[in-house]
Amino acid sequence: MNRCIKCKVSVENDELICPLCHSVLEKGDVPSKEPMYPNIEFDLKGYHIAIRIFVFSAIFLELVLLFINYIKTPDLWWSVICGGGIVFAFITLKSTLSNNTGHIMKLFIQAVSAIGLTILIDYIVGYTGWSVDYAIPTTIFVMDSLIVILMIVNRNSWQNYLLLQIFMNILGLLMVVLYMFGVVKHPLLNFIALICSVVIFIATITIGEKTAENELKRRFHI
Amino acid sequence: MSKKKKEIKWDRLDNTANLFPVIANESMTSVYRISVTLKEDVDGKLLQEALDTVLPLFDVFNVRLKKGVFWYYFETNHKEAPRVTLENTYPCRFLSPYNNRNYLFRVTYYQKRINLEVFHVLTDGLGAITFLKELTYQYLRLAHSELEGRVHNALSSETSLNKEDSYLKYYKKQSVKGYKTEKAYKIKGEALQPNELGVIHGYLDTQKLKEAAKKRGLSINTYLLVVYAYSIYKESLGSQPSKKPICICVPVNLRPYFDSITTKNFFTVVTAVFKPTQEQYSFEEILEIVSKSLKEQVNKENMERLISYGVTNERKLVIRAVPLFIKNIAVKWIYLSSAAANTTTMTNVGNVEISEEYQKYVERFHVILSMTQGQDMKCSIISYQDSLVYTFSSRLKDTSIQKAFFRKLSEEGIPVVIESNGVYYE
Repeated sequence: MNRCIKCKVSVENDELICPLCHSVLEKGDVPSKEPMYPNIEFDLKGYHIAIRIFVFSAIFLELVLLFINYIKTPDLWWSVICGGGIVFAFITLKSTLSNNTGHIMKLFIQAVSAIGLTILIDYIVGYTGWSVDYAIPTTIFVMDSLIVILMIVNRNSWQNYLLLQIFMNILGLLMVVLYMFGVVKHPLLNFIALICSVVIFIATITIGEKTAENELKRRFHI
Repeated sequence: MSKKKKEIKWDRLDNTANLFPVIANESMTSVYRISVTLKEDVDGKLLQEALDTVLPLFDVFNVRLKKGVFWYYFETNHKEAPRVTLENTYPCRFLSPYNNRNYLFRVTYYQKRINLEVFHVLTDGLGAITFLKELTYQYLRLAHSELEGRVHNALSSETSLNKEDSYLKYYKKQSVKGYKTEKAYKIKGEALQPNELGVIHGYLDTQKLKEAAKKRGLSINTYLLVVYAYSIYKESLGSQPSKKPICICVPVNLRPYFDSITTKNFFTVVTAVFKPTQEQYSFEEILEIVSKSLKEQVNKENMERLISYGVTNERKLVIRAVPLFIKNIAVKWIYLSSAAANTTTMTNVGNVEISEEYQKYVERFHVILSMTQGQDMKCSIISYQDSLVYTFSSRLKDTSIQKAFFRKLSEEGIPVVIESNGVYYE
């Protein structure tokens, strides 16, 4: 065991330099022990690099597009749509690579981002309401289908999708409310989407019985 | 698989645990490590077998973390036990609730050492030690056939599996003020690489420490706390006055105060404060100030007051009914403002007692803490038999505080043997 004469401490593993003051150690008589920690090859996480490269490229690209848009076609702000697409791609990349988000939350984030993007596009191209009339109910359909497929695939934990189902029901109801306020002009697809969500939810509750009931109790405990 | 085995039990998080899922991320992991070093090399396969056997018996560890609409909660995890792996990263890395088969702890090994890394949402140091001891006993029973017949092939009778929320059980409804939020002095310096954690263990003779502490009229814990405060003052502040006080968080195990045997979190935090208003304080002056500051806080009345603050707020219906995503924003904000009031943390897990039959196989224990907001250095203490291990974990390149600390102990006549994880040689 080597010794630092400046710090007056012994160093247990076979080091030549004191980790405290970086002085050269004096050779000791007691045999040293093997290093207790592995030699770790430092890995600067690819995730952080990917995110930084993406952010830099995205900002640069969007600035170039805004400039071209302003010079060439100042009447139509198509570059904002591109910006929305870039933000959507960024959210997708971040949530996909994140190891702190479950796949259900990733689905939720994707759905909300997709809805936001369609409303933005509709607004930029002169707002005719196609986003709320058709795009959002289509998103609800797609999400409902995904939920059913995932419940079948992950049948041991089918109850985990109940909250996402409830969200789809609330979104469907919100679209009906928007119809009552005149925001939605062509409600047919929205009605069908709501019915579809409600049917799937009721079927899950009915078939799931006690398991579904317990899941809802857990999820909504105050 | 039997029907009973598939039953999903669930449980609320304890009062302290509600904080950790909100603040934990890659750089602030809220994961701590407790490890046991054996006198023989560890066999990974046997360790996996031991974990597979022990885990189902510990409800506190056999869970996954789920998000409700209003609160996080635990649910029984029916997946296989997490895979035991050879240690290949820095200690206390982030434990995502979505990896590691959804378990909130990991078990790794390296040569003679078994590491248990625990996300603090599950339990505090005492709960983790209970689990690690049983895992080690089971491992030793598998590795040493000579133990057969001498020990029961079951959990030991000293082990508690109690998982009550002692915060709820022992809190008294009262109107109390929260933690102070005066900004504390921060230890600053060039940082190590992201995710790197520097570790220096100091092996100290408990008897020698006891004598040195007794000479000053202090317990070992307070004595080491004073030496730590002194080292920060000397090396980080350069013995100069500071407008901001050095505030050292000291987690206190509440079980002895309330006669609890829970394996869930049951601790609170007091803060030893030293505000240098002039130059060149002597060690004795700092000792006086720090020990007085600690003494004023470590009593049952103050402990009751501290747990009442947390629980009373949590119990309010207005707060309970707030959706989780809003609660999380508020909790994070409160945490960040209270984190500004701390310089560092020093925790003492206490003395680990091992059943006599297993003692000859066990060399020592270590505890390592991860970093939190504004705290780039932390210390932990654990003792076993006649040796105490004082561990510095830090994400700073500079080791002058550690140097001052161990030099001071040497000056006081305590022999010091140190060991690092090699980060400071790179």
